[in-house]
Amino acid sequence: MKLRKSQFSVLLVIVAVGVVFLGGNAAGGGQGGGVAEEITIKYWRHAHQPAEELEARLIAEFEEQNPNVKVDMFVATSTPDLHEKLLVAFAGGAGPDLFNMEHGKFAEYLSHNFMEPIKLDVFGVSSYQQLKQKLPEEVAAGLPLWEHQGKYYGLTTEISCYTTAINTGHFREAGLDPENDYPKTWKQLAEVGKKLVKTEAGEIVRQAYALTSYPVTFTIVFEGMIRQLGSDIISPDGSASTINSQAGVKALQTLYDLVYVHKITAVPSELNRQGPGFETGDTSVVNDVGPWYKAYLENNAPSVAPYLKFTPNIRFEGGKDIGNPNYGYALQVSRTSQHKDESWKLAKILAYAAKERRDLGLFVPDVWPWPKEVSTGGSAIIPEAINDIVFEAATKVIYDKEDPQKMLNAAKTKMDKFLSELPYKLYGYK
Amino acid sequence: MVSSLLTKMEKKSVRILLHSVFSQRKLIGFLFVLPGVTFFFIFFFYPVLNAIIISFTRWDLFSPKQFVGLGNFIELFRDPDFGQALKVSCLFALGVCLSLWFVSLFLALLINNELRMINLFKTVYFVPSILSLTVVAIIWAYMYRRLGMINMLLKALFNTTSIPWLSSSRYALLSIVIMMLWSWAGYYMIIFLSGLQAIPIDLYEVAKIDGANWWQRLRKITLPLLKPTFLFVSIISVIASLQAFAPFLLMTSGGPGNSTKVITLKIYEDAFFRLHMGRAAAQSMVLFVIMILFSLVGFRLFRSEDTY
Amino acid sequence: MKRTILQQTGLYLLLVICAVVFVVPVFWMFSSSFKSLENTLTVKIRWFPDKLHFENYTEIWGAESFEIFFSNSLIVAVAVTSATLFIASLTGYGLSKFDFPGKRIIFVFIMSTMMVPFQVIVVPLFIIVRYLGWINTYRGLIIPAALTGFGVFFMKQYIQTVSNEFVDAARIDGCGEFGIFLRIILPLSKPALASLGILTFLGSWNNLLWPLIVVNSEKLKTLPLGLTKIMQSQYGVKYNILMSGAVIASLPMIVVFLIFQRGFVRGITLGGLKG
Repeated sequence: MKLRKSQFSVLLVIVAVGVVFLGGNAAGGGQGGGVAEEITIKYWRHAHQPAEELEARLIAEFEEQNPNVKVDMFVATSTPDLHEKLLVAFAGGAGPDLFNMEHGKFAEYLSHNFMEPIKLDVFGVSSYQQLKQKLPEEVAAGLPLWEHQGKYYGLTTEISCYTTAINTGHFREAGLDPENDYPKTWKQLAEVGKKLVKTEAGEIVRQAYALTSYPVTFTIVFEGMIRQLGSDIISPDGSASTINSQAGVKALQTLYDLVYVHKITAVPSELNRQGPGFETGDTSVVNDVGPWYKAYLENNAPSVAPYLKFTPNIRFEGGKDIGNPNYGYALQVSRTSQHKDESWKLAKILAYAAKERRDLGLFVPDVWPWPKEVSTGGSAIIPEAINDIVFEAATKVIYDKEDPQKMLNAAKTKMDKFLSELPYKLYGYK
Repeated sequence: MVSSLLTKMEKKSVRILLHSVFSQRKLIGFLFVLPGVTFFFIFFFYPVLNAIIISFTRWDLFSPKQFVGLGNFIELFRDPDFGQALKVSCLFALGVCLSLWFVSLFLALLINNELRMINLFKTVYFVPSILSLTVVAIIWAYMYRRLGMINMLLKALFNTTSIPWLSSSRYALLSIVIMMLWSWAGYYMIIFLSGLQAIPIDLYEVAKIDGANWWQRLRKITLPLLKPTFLFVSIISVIASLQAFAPFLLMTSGGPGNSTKVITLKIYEDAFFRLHMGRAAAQSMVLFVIMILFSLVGFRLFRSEDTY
Repeated sequence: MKRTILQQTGLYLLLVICAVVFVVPVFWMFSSSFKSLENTLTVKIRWFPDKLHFENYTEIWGAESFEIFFSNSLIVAVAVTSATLFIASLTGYGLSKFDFPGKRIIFVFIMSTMMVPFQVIVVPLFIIVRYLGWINTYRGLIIPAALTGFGVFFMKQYIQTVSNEFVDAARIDGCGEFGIFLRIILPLSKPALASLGILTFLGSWNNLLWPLIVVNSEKLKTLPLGLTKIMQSQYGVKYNILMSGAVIASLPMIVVFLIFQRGFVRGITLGGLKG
């Protein structure tokens, strides 16, 4: 009697354990338990509300046209977040079928063999020449950025650069004319800034100019500055860093002076902000936003949007007359995708909406000051590790008042080490 | 019924088998423990072994693992960033642990009085421990802004200029320690309170008769008898601080400069942003060793010779 | 203990000052959650919102998907708590009321899990979960968290105090072993189960690191992930909305705590003084 009962108990124990383990299964199940023929395409991109809405509409259209295909769009919090998720997913052999990533990662992803060249048959052509003719001109213009050994890997969905944006309302309030008095040089910014800045009880409550606290955007802005002064973050052959040149020091010193000498800028106290304070009317001038910022403001800060005016990126007196470096995003299909045809079809629909993207500011509009800014900017090709090193040096100088030359020397050492360990060549460098 | 599942023959052989291998009770006990042990094997022991192995390799999840022996560790100790992370983590853990001693004990002494509404105060002090570190980090990041509540309050009261709580290497780590203290003081207060309440009142009575004042009673009776509690609080708080992650991710991202880049953050970044699996595993091993060291130090410091 | 009025007043003063320090940030969270965006950015401290902007809550619940995050957090926390309570009791019972070869080793082994930082196993755990195909699934969120050394320790300590007489009597009555567990041990352990349950639920509800690694899609995010997403957004953070999210993430646990205070305290103190 006892033995039987305890055997039964043992059985119960095993079953109970099994239930608990399987219970986890019941509460969440796998995907794809649906209709036999149904395909799911995973599409990953980074967060940008107007673009997401546009793409959601296009995806709905696509799903209608292809009833056996479902699209699962995943929006990462930010581009670095997307980068992390892509790396990990591909490493596990379970990457998305289609993703939309920026150009700075192109070389790295190529070196890991993530992507497929564009499938010409999906576009009904037999050569890249013909493809160029068929694509919307913005996409075609961007093709060379995504070229490697004669093949093209990406359909451009965004090419832009940053420029300076001012709040015309603030300018008028200060007795300035937004059409003529916008700051063309850093020196002018300091002058104009003194009239724009508002303080209360010894604190700056409205900044004339705001420093970005986002390592990626800061590095691009800094790169623009250092290039205007004739140097660069990385040497032309991509082997070593030249950030600790006089140009680098001058660039950092300029930013430092805005905070502590001219007192028109406050030390940032929040992380990861791009265009900080502009949308709440707490900043008069920013220079880390692109043409897409207009659509963003209209959506999220309609009271400030009418006062937005883009002006050429702030230059240095006697420096080169060039804009901020360009960056771009493109749709790329993964080499390990099981549904390459459908993915390229989806990519095609998404990419063909170039005109809508231009309206959203994802492609640079043909109005002043954009054409000159984007054409003189050159490419921003900085990997994340470099962003972090540059930003670290800058925060030490601007937040902690350390000596710029020393900090940049330390940054150079770190960057050189990083570059020497890099298994691939930074794209664009010979 | 189950009985029908097994024929008499099978039952007899099973019984003989079970008797011959284990005594019935022992087997039952073992079976009760089996699910838990299996779980720990799969989701703990095996990962730990794996971690040790990975820490001796160079691996980026794509290519096959490359065995490098102690290479990762040597690299770590040559890497100034890692030294910095170690320093920050240890400073942080020590800062939190030591200040908790004072603050939580103080609160416990305060609460350990029979006053009206004392329970209300106890509850109030404890509520912050219920909040997740994510929520706490968010509230404090909001308050620590240049024009945030803390600075504006200080300005209103003392006419100070705004302090760069999270925007200066000098203040950032301290600011986070203060926040952790706020968050955890109530929790450790409860633990100290238990320790206090376990001290027999007679000891205090006798001391009072002997003419000891409050401070002497504290030093000669309370503190010595609280040694086990101090030990417990120290070890738990150090282990918890060394593992803290959310505040550093959300409030400073390791900055400014590297002043708040703790090891947990570095491990996360190295593993999931740079895919340096070997290095991340090696760093976690070092973290583990540090935890053990701290615990050993704690055990030494609080060797309790007193029994009562 | 007789005290002078002065001493009493002094004590109350200290108590109140400390209380203010602990309450103000929490109050600030609640207050800001009802403010309009402008009011969260003013220089002059506005302790109270100009009016109660409930739309902050509707926005975060709907537009920012906190409804989904809330239900995910709930599902995961309930599942993890149930699993932990059940298996920890099983294991604690086996360790406290039985004797078998290897019991000591097993006990030490399980206790040692409390000493190892999560960072050590986070990468291999991720790899195992990836191998099992559990990335971005409920399974992946729940199962690796389904048991802790602390839980086993806690239940063992408590069940040890259950008088053996009950167990022996039940055996004599012919009750099967598992029946003894279900009908004698578990009911007698209710206080411990309640305490452990609350603590486990709290731990799961507040967990950030593991979900951050395992979850890839919006549909599966838990509340801490939702908050992280808003906090890390590149453009401005709407603090009023963020604070209402923080309230949503905290309120359930605050309410549970206020109701089950004893359980909490017991859980913390039983957990280790004798330790």
